[in-house]
Amino acid sequence: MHAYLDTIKDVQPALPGADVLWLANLRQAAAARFAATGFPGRKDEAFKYADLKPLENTPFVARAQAREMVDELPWLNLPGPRLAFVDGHFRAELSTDYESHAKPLSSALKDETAALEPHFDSDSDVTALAQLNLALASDGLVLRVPAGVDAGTVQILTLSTGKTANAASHLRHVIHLGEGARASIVERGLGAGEAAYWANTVHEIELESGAGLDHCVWQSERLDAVATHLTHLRVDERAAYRRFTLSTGGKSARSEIRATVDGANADVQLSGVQLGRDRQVLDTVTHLRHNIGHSTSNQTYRAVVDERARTAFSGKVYVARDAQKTDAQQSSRNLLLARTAEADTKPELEIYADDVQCAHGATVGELDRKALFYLASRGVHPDAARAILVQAFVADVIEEIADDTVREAFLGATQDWLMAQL
Amino acid sequence: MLKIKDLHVTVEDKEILKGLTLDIPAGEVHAIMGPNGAGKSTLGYALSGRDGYEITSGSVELDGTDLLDLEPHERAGEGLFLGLQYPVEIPGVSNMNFLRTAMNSIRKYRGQDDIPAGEFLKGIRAVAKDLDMDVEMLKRSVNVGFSGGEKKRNEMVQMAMLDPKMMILDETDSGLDIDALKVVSKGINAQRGAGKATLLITHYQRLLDYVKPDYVHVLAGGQIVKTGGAELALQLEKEGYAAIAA
Repeated sequence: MHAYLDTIKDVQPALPGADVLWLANLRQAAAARFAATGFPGRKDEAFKYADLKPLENTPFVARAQAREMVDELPWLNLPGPRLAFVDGHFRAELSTDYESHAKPLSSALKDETAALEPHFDSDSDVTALAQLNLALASDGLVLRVPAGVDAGTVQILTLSTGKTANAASHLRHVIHLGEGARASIVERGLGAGEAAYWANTVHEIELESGAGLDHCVWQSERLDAVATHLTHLRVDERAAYRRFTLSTGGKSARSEIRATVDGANADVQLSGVQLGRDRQVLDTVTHLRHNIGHSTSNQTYRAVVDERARTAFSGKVYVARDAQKTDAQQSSRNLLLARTAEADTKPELEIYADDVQCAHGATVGELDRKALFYLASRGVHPDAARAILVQAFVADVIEEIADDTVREAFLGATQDWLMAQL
Repeated sequence: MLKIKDLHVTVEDKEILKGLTLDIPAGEVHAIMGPNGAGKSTLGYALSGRDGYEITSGSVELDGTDLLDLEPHERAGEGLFLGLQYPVEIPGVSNMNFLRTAMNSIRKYRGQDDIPAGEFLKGIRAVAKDLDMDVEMLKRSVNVGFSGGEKKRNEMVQMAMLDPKMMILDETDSGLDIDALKVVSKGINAQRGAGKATLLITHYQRLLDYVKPDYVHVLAGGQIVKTGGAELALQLEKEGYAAIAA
């Protein structure tokens, strides 16, 4: 832990926005909280299935600057702004169209400091990971869409070059959609090089009345990386947040979403697919809090686990006393491809209102042997039969992605994963 | 076409088939009848190579090829088709995708190129029409939400498209109303021909009113105990298995 505190001391003065007083105060406060508690252990219920040991064993060092050379980035063929972040820093020469609503945090901290302040003053740094992120955030996307405006699709690529051993990048994305505003964010995290790294990302998202955000994330980090994500979300009345997360990378990966529904007729759709192999530990955690009634939420998660990998889904839904007529659904289905693989699923409902529709379903199973034989008896090679059944297991979730290009890319990524496994 | 010699099959350490011998020449339709538990379904599964059906001795040749050395998908590649008594539901896999994958897998096994998309669609439309199957249903998941009759009709669609040499149809008539039975029979009869053979595994004589077999065999106690012409089925129906198999 001391190594992290030393890094903070070294790096903080050189970070973007170091001269902004309110931010400097927040960073110091976050560092102090981290110093007091350190990394959570297994006894912390929210981290029961996570594996943060790699972070404790090896200090991952953030840098105030990084300028590694980068070849072409794998952008999807989508219109709209593209923002590239390399080793935790925005790279203008690799990005396009980023001036209007979407811009890097490093430059927003120069020109619109005051407007950013409300979006930092949140309770998102409840975990050690988020505290370190705030203390060391070097860059990120700032997407602020005025009321009634459709900002289209914003694409983010975050690359860790692995050119320096045990590098950490702490990106903080701030997304605010005004009344009735719309946007779509497509992001992918990936790694190159040979050395292990840590990508620690926080999304701070606020959707005002009637705003709508589609958010697709592909965590495709290297298999020796640590990848931790926290999305902190607040939605107001009639706002809609649709999130899909594909997790294929990381030796240890965690995707956590903390969402609060603060208005009626809002809709939060969280879905994701975790594909685990090797000795990966992939952990998904959601906390969904309905403070106001007459809103809906839906969580649909699938995991496919092979070899000695372990996946987990912990989904908590909290319905406050006054949040009547809440409709909250949750489904977690898990497919084990090997006897040595493990999938944990832990749904949790905490309901204080009496007139609600809340349900959860969780399954862990293997491939259907009858279906495998049926396919084989029709001439399909056993490997192809397995691929077809696994693909079918995850396809219904991926097919909900609205954008054709993104959906095809994610289906393709799933297929590639399967081909590599079979 | 299919030559089974002294076949012994064990399931979960219990011997079910105890020296079954059967020769089905090309161009013929044979029916195997027998009481419940005689080993009828075991025969179908053992011939198609399903896990758990252990062949302890005997031999099976399809058109001169030793089947027992082959995996289930390779047997399909050699031209074997097993129509299941309980066709399996596969959520998330469309019938079209399933069939096209199956056809291309078999073509690959035979060293042929993939079927052109247009040819596949033309073929499936014609087959669906013949078998009174709504093409829209074929776009849905394999057998999911299908009635018993629709599942069996779907087996016939698959059989027609895969165009096998040797068809083994396990209780294809069970659970069918008379209209569905006629459609399924039409599907089987359409496959009768010089280079093909069919083995009907059935409990009841009813199907044989529509698909007239060349030979009827009675399976009891894991062996063929009696063989006759189509009239044997009628006799079985009248007198029961006990009298004949005794």
